[in-house]
Amino acid sequence: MMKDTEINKKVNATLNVADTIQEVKVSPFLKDRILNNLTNEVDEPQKVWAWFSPKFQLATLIIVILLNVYAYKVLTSDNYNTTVEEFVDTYDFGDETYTSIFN
Amino acid sequence: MKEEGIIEQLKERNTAVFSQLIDDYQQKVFGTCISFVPNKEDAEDLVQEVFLEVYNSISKFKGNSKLSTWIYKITTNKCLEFIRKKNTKKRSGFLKPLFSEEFSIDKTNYFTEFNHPGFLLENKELNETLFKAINSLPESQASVFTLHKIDGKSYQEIADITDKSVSSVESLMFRAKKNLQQLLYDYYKNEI
Repeated sequence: MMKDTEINKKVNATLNVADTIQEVKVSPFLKDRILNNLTNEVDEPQKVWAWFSPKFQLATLIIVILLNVYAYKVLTSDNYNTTVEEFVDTYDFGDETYTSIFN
Repeated sequence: MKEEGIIEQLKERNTAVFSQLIDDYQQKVFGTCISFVPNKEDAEDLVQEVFLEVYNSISKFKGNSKLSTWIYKITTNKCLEFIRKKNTKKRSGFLKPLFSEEFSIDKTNYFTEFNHPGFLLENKELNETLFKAINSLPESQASVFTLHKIDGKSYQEIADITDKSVSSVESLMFRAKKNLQQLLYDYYKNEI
């Protein structure tokens, strides 16, 4: 087992070892790698979605909302039921009992 | 070119100015990255991520701090994020902080393989022990200690990077040193 003084000596040596770390030079090709990655990453999504600017996004959103409102109104209006009833009347598809010549 | 001019040019996606920015900062950013992550390949990957983030987020930079401070802020966050991710992968122990208030040097599961060309051969083991001990500290203490002792930044620079006052940086540094002493003492006591 180590003595306290020895342990403290080792602790101090470990804490002070940070001062001996030498500077590491960056790889010479790192800059090229960064620039290559940049062109790869930035170019592709921009080509696809560059035209879809915030103005277009807002316009699309408004159109979608208007279409939804229109569709909802059409669905809830009575017009649909009246049209169906007219169709049923015109072609005699109603529930009335039919008289048959065989009866 | 003045800093405002550089920022404007960067916002306009001027590649030549960005290339100059890489020349000016890559060594310093790399120095910070390898201080947090003692593995040359990992540190270089982080440098790439930092510059991509700088390029993509420059439009959000409001100019509240110096450009260099903003870049170091991104660097520190990227490094901490990297360490956090690697630590959660390596440690099966979310149970560790739940059941123990104590923290100890994790001898087996350090988050990366040591590959730091700046370690002198005779100090390699001590350096590795120190980095493992730093990794056992709470994140705020570990980042302040690393930025000051390993990367060599001043308290004022660290205060700017971490959005803390100089006095709280000093206090974190004091606690970090105290905790490291205790951690290392326990480690060497149990070693033999």
